[in-house]
Amino acid sequence: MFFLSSRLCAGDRFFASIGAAGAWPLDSDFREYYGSVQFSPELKVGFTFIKGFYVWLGYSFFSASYSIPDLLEKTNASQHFIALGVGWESSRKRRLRLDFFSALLAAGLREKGLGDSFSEFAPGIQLGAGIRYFFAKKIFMGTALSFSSALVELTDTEVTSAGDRFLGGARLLVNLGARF
Amino acid sequence: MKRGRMRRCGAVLLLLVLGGLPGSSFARVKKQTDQVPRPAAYSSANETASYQEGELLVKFKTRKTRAEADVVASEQSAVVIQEFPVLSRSRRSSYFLIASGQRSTARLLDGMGAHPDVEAVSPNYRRRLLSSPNDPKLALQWGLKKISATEAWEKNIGSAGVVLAVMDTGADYRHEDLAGNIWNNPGEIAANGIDDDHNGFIDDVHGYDFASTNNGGQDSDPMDIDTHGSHVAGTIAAVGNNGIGACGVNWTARVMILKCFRPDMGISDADSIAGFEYALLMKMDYGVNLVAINASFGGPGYNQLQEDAIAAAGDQGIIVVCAAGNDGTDNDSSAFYPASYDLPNIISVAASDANDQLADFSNYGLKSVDIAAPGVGILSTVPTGKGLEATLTSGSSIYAVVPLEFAGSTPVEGLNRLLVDCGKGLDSASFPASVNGQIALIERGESTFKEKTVLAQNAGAVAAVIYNNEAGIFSGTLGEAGSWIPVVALAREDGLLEKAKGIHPVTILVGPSNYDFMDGTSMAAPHVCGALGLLAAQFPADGMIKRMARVYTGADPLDGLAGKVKTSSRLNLDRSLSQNLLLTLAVFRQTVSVWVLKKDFARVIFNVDEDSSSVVVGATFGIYRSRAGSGFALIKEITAAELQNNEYTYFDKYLDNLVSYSYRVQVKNAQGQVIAVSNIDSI
Repeated sequence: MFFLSSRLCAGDRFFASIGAAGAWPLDSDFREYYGSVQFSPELKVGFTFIKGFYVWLGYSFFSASYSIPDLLEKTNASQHFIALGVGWESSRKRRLRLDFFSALLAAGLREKGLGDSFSEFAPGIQLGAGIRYFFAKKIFMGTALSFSSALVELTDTEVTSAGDRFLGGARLLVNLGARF
Repeated sequence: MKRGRMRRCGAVLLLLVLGGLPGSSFARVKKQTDQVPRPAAYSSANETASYQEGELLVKFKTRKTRAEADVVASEQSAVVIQEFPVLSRSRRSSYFLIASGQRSTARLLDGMGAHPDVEAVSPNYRRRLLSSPNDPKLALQWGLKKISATEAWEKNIGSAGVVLAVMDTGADYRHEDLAGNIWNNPGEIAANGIDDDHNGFIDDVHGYDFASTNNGGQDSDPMDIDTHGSHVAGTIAAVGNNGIGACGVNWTARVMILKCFRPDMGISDADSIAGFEYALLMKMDYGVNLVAINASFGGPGYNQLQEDAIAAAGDQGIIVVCAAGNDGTDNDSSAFYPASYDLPNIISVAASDANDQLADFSNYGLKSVDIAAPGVGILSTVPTGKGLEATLTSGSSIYAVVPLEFAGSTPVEGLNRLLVDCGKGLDSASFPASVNGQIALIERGESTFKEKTVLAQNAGAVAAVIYNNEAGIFSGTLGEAGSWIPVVALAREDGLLEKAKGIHPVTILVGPSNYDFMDGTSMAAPHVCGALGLLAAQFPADGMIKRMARVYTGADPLDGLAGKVKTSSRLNLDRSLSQNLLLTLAVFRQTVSVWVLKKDFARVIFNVDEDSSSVVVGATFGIYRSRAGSGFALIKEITAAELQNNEYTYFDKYLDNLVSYSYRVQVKNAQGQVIAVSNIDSI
């Protein structure tokens, strides 16, 4: 076991990054109430297992508020994404590298207000591509464009309106990361 | 009004269900597009509506002459048989009734409905009257006492300058207790065969007959051909304080008679539209101070053209008071027209009984029925001699009793004899010798009414009073015609009271009358119509909305009506007339939806009448809410300073689905005394 760990750790195979994205939510109703562009932080860690291929785990979310006319009340809605996927990073000998990634998502929605709250989860997918620039040996800056999607089907209840809610959307990300 | 202790008598509701052609019926609704809805859109409610086969009411998109309409109708093998020029002018459209001898109404609907020039079509629905004249007595004008009319009359007894129309079977304008209050068209000379005032109607002195069997369907004589219309008219304005008969809500007013009833088809929509047109014409062009129209009829089947006619009346400030219906059903789920048209000038009226409960036959509707008024055992005028009066007088007590079917009548002055207890009258031994030539008092039960009566007759009794063996009164029959003595039914409580007195003199009276008792929302509506007349006399400057607000805000909230009618209240004439602070409340149930969540809330709006805004300086307003018929609880309190333009809007967040809520506002002065309450509004 120790041997395996030592071998995997060799050559800076781990990376971690922190980023911020501008997200364009897929759901038109969400955009109508909460806006078309959302600020979305992201945390991502990964491990390269062979020739640029890596597995990764990420978490991102966005959250926004809406003020209901007349009622003078605010509601808050958020979308959360836990991603587990694989990616590929091009030649590790160059400072500028291409990055392609995909993931399965556990996506969640939450809306709070009107004296109530509601949350739900659904599976989804994510695809994306970007570039990484290593301005130091182990430190990189990157940008990526990704698209994620998950579907939550709601029925008409005491507190929810019936219909499909789409989670995710397009994201333009900038991040800062390190290999170790 | 007769004096003395009045007692209930039972009631039998007999509806004049006319026509009765259950089956397909149709409703067309105007759409924003050029497309006319197809017949597939028939509502289930309409399936029980009956209509005049081969006829169709048509509304064109633009003004058309009769000749132009005839051309369109001819494409469907139909001809125009009636036009509605006043309504057409008022609504800037064209309304006609067409008929075809070759095509069914269903085919006409298809054909005319698809025509590009046509905006709406509807079958010529038949509406039925909502009560009959043969209901048993309950009490003598208890309804007027219940609505505090006596107190109200101290403030106002009505005005000859106020006109109230009765759209019904006609009215007996020669009736001893109506004649003085029948409207006379000042521009018309009676029976001279000339249209003196050039309104298009010859000799329309008291109104008009839009449903005549003569003269091609209309004539100038709106005499009651039934009893219903006269009864309605009497509740509205039987002449008061004249020493005879009954008393109307208005002692003085003027009743315009719009006869729209045909014996073979009830009140058709075409005839009612013609009646509304006439009312509209007389108000618009001839300055008649027409305040309200009483419409004690109805049925299923939405008709946009009839709705337009009522809306046009509303445009002229005419309130249409509609009976809610006598089917005991919920109008919120099964609409009943015209009461269910969603128009601001309609007051839909349910019937309440002497115990302030919703009458068992009365339709109701938290959203669509506005208010209740007395509608059980209502005494009023009927055409001369067509009523049946039965009373039992004992000392200072006068009981309203119910004659048994086929029983004999008394002399006009009644029979004044001793009342002799005969037990249950099961055999000849039950009848003492002293009953000979006297009146037998018999308890109901264990044998038929006929058997008891035969024994009483054999014992020499000249009349019989059968009192119930359970609480309340009853109606019954002797089974067959014959030479019967007068026999009447009496409530058990009254019977026991009389029995306890021992042998004592009473007077029994059974005979034809100019008055009678009836049940129905038909009888409730004219109480409200009459109230509008009295309000118009007291507050002549009021507009339609304010007048209606006075009715609602003055009404008595009652537990028995909670959840049944919008205001949870029964008419109170005195309070409506008395308010010096008019506080009007309107509540709307709305749903707020965001991305995922949704909730209902109530938009509660109340306003203080501008004329009384100075009264509320320093006052506090409490908004009270009742959930699902429970008691009212304070949910918000504001000061007068928080009013904006005499109005305040409060959002009650949030409501439970499928639960009804009622609201009202109470105003307290700086000393904490309640100085006004609003109407109740329910959602």
